[in-house]
Amino acid sequence: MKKLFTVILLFSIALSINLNSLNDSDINELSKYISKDKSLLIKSYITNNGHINNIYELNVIDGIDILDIQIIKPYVSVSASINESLLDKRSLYKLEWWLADSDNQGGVSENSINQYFNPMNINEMNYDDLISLPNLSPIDVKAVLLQKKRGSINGTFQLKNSPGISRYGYKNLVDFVSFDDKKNSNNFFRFTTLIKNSPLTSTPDDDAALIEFYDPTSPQILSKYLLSNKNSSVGYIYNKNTGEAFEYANQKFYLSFNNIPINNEIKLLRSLRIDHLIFGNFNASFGQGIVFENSDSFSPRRTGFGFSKRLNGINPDQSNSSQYTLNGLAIQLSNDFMRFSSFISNDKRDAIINEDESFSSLILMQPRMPMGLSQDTSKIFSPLTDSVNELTIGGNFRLSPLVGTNLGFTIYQSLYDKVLDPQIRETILGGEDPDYSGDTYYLTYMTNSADPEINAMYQSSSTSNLWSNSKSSRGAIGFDFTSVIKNIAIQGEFGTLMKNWNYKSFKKSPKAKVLSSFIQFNNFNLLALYRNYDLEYDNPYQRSFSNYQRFKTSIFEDSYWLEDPAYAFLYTANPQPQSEEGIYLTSRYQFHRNLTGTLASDHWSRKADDAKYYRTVAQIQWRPVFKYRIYFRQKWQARGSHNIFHPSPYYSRETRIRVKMLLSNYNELEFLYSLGYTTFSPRPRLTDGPSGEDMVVGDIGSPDKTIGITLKYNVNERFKIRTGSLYVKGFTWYFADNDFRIFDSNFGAFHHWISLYGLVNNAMSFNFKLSFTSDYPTTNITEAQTDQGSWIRNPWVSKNQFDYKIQVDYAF
Amino acid sequence: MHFKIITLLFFGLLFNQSLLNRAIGAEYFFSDAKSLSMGLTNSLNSNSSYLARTNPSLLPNKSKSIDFKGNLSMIRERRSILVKDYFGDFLTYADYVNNDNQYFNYQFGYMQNYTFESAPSNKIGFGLNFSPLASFNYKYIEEVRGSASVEDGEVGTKDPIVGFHNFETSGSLKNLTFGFGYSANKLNFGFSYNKILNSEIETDIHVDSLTTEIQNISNIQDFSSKQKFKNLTGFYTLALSYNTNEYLFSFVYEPELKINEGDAPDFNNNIISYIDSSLNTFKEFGLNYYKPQKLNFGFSYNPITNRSLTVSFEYEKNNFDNNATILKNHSFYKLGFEYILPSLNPVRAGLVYQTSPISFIPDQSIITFGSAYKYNNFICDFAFSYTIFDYYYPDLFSLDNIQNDSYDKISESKLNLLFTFKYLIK
Repeated sequence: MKKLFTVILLFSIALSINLNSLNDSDINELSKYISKDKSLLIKSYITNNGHINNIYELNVIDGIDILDIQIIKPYVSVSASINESLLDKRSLYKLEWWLADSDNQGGVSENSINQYFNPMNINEMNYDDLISLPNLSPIDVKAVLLQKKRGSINGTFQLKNSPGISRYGYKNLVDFVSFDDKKNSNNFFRFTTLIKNSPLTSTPDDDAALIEFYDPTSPQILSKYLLSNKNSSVGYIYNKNTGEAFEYANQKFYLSFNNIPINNEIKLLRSLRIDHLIFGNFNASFGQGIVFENSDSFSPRRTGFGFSKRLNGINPDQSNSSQYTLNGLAIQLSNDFMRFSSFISNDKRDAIINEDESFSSLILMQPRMPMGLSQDTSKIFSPLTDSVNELTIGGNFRLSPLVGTNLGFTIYQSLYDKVLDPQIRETILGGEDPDYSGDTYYLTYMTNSADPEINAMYQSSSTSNLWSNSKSSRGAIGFDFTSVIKNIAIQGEFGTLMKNWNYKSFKKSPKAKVLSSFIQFNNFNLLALYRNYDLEYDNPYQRSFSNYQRFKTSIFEDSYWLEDPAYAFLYTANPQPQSEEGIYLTSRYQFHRNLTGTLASDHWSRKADDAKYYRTVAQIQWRPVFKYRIYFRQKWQARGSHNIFHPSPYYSRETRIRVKMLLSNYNELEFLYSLGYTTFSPRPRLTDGPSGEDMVVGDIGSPDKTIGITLKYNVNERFKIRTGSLYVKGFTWYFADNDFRIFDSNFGAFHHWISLYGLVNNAMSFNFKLSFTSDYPTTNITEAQTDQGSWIRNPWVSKNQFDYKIQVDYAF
Repeated sequence: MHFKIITLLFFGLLFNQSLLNRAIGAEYFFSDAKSLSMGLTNSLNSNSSYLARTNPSLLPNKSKSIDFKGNLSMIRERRSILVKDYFGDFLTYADYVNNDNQYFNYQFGYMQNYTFESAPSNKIGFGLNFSPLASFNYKYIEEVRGSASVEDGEVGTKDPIVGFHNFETSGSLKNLTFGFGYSANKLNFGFSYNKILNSEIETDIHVDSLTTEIQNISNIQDFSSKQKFKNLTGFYTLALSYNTNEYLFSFVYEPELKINEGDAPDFNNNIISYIDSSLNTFKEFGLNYYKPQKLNFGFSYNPITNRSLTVSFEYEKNNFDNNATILKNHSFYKLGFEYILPSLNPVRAGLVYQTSPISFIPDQSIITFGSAYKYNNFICDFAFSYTIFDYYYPDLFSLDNIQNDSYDKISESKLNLLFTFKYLIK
C-alpha cells in the first residue's frame, strides 16, 4: 500500500505543472484553474524574480492571493530547473538595474550583485550584511535577527514569519539569501567590462554639465575581475573616465578574508568573527555618513533607506572611485554585541597646488587632467593629479546592547604632506579676461550667494608624530545610534571636526548632525529626517543627506571666472553635501493594490546665505487593469520668494506622466510626457533686443517639454531588443535603458537609442547600446565667423552626437 | 507714450483667452464631469441637473437625484518677447511674465422624472440648476527690474527690483436654469429657461513702486472700481432627441444673447482701447457679454454587442448676428468615448476641436479624460481637460519712453479639474 501511494505520488508530480519552467502549454493548462492573466502573472514573476522554492512564495505577487494558490496547489509542482545558471538571472530587471549602475553608488550595487549571484546563508548574516541590502529597513533587519535568535531559518516560511518583517522587506530580501551553505561555499568568479562614451552626469542639474570636458573619442573603460568564495575574495578594478588619458586611469586591487570565526571563551567576545581583513583597496562607511564615508559619488537626498543604502562598515572596494580611495590595511571584527573596525591608508590625492607648494583644496576630476584643460603653467603651478599624499587612520567601535539597537563611535585623521591653505583668489579664481576677473567678483556677486561656503574652507598647518612627512591634517569624531522600537526606527549621528585634536575647543568646533525617524506598516511608511551642518564643517569624507553638493551657487559654478575650467569640478564633481539645515519627510502609501502614492517634501535653509528652499514631489502609480500602468509625478520646488529681499529666487514645477503597456511575450511599450517650467527674476541687463538694443524687461525662463516612447521587445529568452526615442525642448532627465541622461536643448532635439542584450551561453552575456542625439538645425544666428576668419550671415547651426556602450559580463 | 491697454474683441467663446475676460467675459464650458471627460459632449452625456441647460429633452430619462459640482481651473499665461540671447548669441523667445492663477467654481441642482402609470412609455422630467455662465476673472503681475551702478568688487545687484505692474479683475455671471422634458416612446422634447442673476464686477489696476526713481515702470494712474448689475435678462433652450437601444440622436438650439450694461468697447475695431483720449487713464467698462446662437447636433452609439463601450460625437455651430468685422462664425467638433472596465469603473476620454472664432486666434484643440466611482447611491465623477494655445498681443504695461510696436507672444494653457458628486434618491 505504501509503495502504491509512493508510485501515485511520483506519477502525479510527473504529470503536474512545474511552476519554475512554465511554457505556453503549461500556461494554457494553468488557465483552466485561474485566469490567463494570473497565469501570466506567475510566469512573469518567476522570470523576473527567479525560481521559487515554495508555492506560497506566490502570495507576494500583486494579483495573486491565497485562494488562487489553494486552487492551483493540487495541479502544480515546484522543482529546480535543470538549466539553472548564474547569468540566466540576467533577465531580471533588478539585476539589470544594478549592472547598469555598477559603476556608481559607491559599491552598493556591486554588493547587491555579488549577493545576488552568490547568496549568503541568512543564518550567518549580521546586522551590516542585512542593512546594506536595498529596501530592507532597520525594522526588517531587527525582525530577521530576532527570528535567528529563535532558531535556524531553514526556508522562506520561517523567514516570512520573522516577527515584524514587512511584506515589502521580505520580497526584497529573498533575492539575496540562501538557507544553507551550499550556494556560497563554491568559488565564484565574475568579470565585467564596460566601454562607453556617453557624457558623464555627475549631478542631475543642467548647470553641472560641463561640456568642455566631453571627449567622445576617448571612451570610459571599466573592467572588474572578482574572485571569491565563502571566506576570501580578491578583486582588480580598472577604470578610465571618458576623455581621460590612459596614464591617469585608476587601478585598484584588494585581497580580503571574510567571515572567519574566532573561537573565544570570553562571554562578550563569544561568536566573534573577522568580517573582513583587507589588504589593498577598501571602503569604509560608518553611521549616517556624517564623519566618514569614502565614495566619490554624490547622491541627492540619500536617506540610507530604500535604494539609497550605505555599505556600512569596512568592505572591499569594488567601486570605480578614483579620488577618495583608501589603500592599505583594514580589519573589522564583530559579534552580536559589538563591532570593531579599524584601518590605515596611504594614498595619493588630486589637489590644487598653490604657488608656495601648499594646496588649496582636494579636487575630484572626471576626467583627470594633470594640467587642467588649458594646460597653462602660469596658472597651474603644479600638476593636479596625485599631487598630495594622504595618510588616513580611522576606526569605528559599535555596541549592540539589544537586537536592533546600536551605539557607535567613529574617529579618523587624515595627514597631508603639504600645507592645506585655501588661496582662493591667488590660485583658483581668475579667468581669461583680466578686466572681468573672478578675483573681483568673489564674495561680492549677488547671484553667487554661496561664496561664504568657499570662504569657510578648511585650513591647516601642523605636524604629526604619526608621520614625519605630515605638514597638515584634518580629523573628525562622531557618535551614531540606531534603535528599533516595534515598528519605529530612530537613527542619528553627530560629528565634529577636531582642529589639532584640541578638545578644549570642542564647543567651537564645526559640527554636523542628522536625526531620522522611520515608521513602517505593511501599506504605509513615513520617514522624517532632520539635518544641520555647520558652514565650517568641511569634511571631505562627509556623505550624509543633502539636496545639493557643496559649493552650489558659488563662483565655482562659473568656469569663466576660474583660472582653469577644470577647477569647476570643485563643485560639479564634489561628493560633499552643502551646509544646510532642514527637515525632509517622505511617505509611501498603498491606497489599494492598484493605486500607490508617495510623497517627499523637503524644506531647508542653506547656511551660506540663509536662502530658504523647498522641494515637494508627489507620485502616483495607478494600475486600472493589470496590463496598463500609469505613473504620474509632480514636482514643486522653489528658492526664496519673488520679492525685494531675495537676490536670486526661482520657482520650478515639473510634471511627468508615463503610461506603460504590458504586451504579449513580456514585451513592454511605454510613453512619456513631461512638462517643466522654472521661473526666476527677470534681469534686463542680460537681455538684448533682436537687434542688440537694451531691454527694459528680462528673461524669466522658458518651459521644458519632453515626449518619449520606449519599446522592450524580447526576440526570444536569450536575445532582447530595447529601443526608445525622445523629443526634448528645454531641460529634461531621462532613463534610457537604465542609463541616466540629462538633455538641454533650446530649440528642440531628438534622442534615439537602441540596446541589444544577448545571453551568449549560460555564463556570458553582452549588452550593446547605441545612442544618437540631434538638435534641430537653426538659422537664428545673425552672423558668424568661419574657421578661415570670414563672416557669413544667417548660418545654419546643427549639432549631432553619437555615443555607445558595450558591456560584457561573465560569471561562473 | 502714456499708459495704454488695448483689447481685442472676443465674444464669450468657449476657450477664451483670459486677458480679455474683463472686456467681454469668458463662457464657462463645464457641464458635468462625465460629459467633460467625454470630449465635452454636453448634450449627449450630461448626467446631472446641468442637463436642464444642455439638453432638457433627456430629463425624463434621468433618475431623481441631487448633485454638486466643484471645478478648479488652473490657468497659466506666459508673455514672451523676441530677444537676442546674451550668452548664446541667437534669437529666441524669452518669457518676461508668467502668471499662474487658480479659480474655483461650483454648481448644484436637482432633477426628477415621472412615469405615467397609464402610459408607461410616456415620461416627464424636470431639472433645476444653479451654475456660472461667464467669468470676468483675470490677474496679472509683472515683476519689474531696474538697473543700478554697482562697481566691481562691491556687494550688490545690478538688477534691483523696482516694483510690480498689477492688473486684476473679478466677477462672474451666474445662471439659474429651470428645464422641462417630455418623452413619448423614443422621441423626446425639452425646453428650459435660463435666468441670469444679479452680478458684481471688481476692477483694479495699479503700480507698486519700491523706489522713488521711476525706472522701467509704467506711469498709469491707479484705478479701482466695484460695479453692480441688476435685472439682467435670460435666454431659453430648445431640445429634441430620439433614442433607441443603441443610438441617441439630439438637436439643441439656443438663441444669441447680448448683454450691454454701461460703457462698451468699440466692437467694430480690430483693436479696442481701454483708455480715454488722455492716454494715461483706465477707461471703465460696464458689463458686456455676447453669447452666440448655438445649433448643436449629437450622435451617440452604445452597441448591444458591447454594452461596455459608448462613442459620442457632437457638432456645434456658433453664429453671431452682428456687423463686427473681426468676428467669425465658428464650429466645435467633439468626440468622446466611455469604456466600462471589468471592475465597473469607467475610463473616459475625448477630444474637442474648435475652429478659429477670430482672425488671429488659431484653431484650438482640447483633450479630456476622466473616470468615476460609485458607492451605493453615491456617484463621484471626475474629469480633466487641458488646452494650450498661442496668440500675439501688445504689451499690457507699455512705457512712455519705449516705442515698441511689436506684439508679444502670449501662451496660455488651461488645466481644468471637475468633480461631480451626485446622490440618487430612491
